[in-house]
Amino acid sequence: MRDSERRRDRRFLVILLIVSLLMVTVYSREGDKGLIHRLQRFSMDAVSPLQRGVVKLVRPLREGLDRLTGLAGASRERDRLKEENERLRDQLLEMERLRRRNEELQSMVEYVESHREWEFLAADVIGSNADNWKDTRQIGVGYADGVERFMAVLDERGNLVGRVTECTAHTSLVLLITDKQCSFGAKLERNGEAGLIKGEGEGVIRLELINQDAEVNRDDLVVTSGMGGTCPPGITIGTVREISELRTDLSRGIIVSPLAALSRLERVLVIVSPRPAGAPLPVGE
Amino acid sequence: MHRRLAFLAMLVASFLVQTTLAPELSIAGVKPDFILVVTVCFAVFEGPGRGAAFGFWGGFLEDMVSNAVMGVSSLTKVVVGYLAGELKNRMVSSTVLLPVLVVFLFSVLNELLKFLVWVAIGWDGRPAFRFSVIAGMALYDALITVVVYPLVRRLVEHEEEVTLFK
Repeated sequence: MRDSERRRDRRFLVILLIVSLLMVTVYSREGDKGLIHRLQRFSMDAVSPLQRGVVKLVRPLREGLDRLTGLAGASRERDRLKEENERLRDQLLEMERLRRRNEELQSMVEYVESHREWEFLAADVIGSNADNWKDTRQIGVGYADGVERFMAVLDERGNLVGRVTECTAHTSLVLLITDKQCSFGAKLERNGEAGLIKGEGEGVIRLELINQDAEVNRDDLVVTSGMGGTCPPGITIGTVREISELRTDLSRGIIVSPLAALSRLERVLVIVSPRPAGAPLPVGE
Repeated sequence: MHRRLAFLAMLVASFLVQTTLAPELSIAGVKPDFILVVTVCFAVFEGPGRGAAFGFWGGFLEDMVSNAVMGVSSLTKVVVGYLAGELKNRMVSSTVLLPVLVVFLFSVLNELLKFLVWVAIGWDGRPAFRFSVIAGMALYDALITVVVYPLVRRLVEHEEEVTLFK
């Protein structure tokens, strides 16, 4: 670029800047009714029909753009709502867990209150058996807390869960009533017919009555008889679910559904008094 | 004569597109500045003098139909047009990428200058300064340069013996 051209451009620039600054100054100093303000308003009016026409023409394009930007916004909103939903769901689950816990504790208190003649020790279930061969639960109290072998363990509503088989200082192992090695003296609450309940594994309990001709009906309540001395009488065990024909050993197969929810035990009661008077009844085949 | 016609055609076209189409193309409240984009593209082909002239008239027309302070857009676009024109014969590019970058930078400069003037004169109606809007606008301007730049080049190349950005 030649120097003369450059000088001309610079002069031109200065002139344009001065004109622009003059416009700014005049506009800033004149009122709303000033010439430039009125000229501006007039121009805006003049252009507006043109704008309206174009708006009609490009409306489909505008709507397309809105959809695109709306989609981005909707995606953000969806993510936010998703997070909030997860947070609320967690809160709800926590509330539900606390409500259930509260109910359990209340049941426990009510049960303990209604059996003042016995002494209980509440314990958390802290573990389960790692293999598939034993139905056991580990609880968070041991001999340091007054727990002994063969003590009966109940759920929060006072239904029989099993008995303590091993004790360490602060933990104990509870053999569930469904385990094949577990047996308790039991009777039918309706007519007092006595017998034994034995675990059959896989969540099943079998009742063997001494009197093979005793009347048994479905839904009969089975409670502990106190026989053997490891468990006080009258503790609910379950209800008769199934009565089969005589087996080869001439006993009847009476299947009992446990009342305790053994698969989801969280807190249990150990009967620490009366203490077990002897060893559990042997489990015969 | 043809050069003046091209100048006028681009000026009127960019003004009409800016006043009618640009508001309809706003994304998240940000609309492109067609006049600025054409000013920069025109200036890099035509030099500082004509670039400043284009910026002045483009800004003037913009001011006429806006409710902002009259003369501010003229002022800032004169500066942008002149500086962009200074790049004439200094940029060699076979792609549109360099003009896109140049438009982006001048777009940011234009908006910063506007705010500077508004603050300097103490205009009560000035909007809140948000760099995100300026950056968005500069990005949008850079984006439409991809379309505008070849159009401007086609119009001015009839008169230019030396083609820039080529």
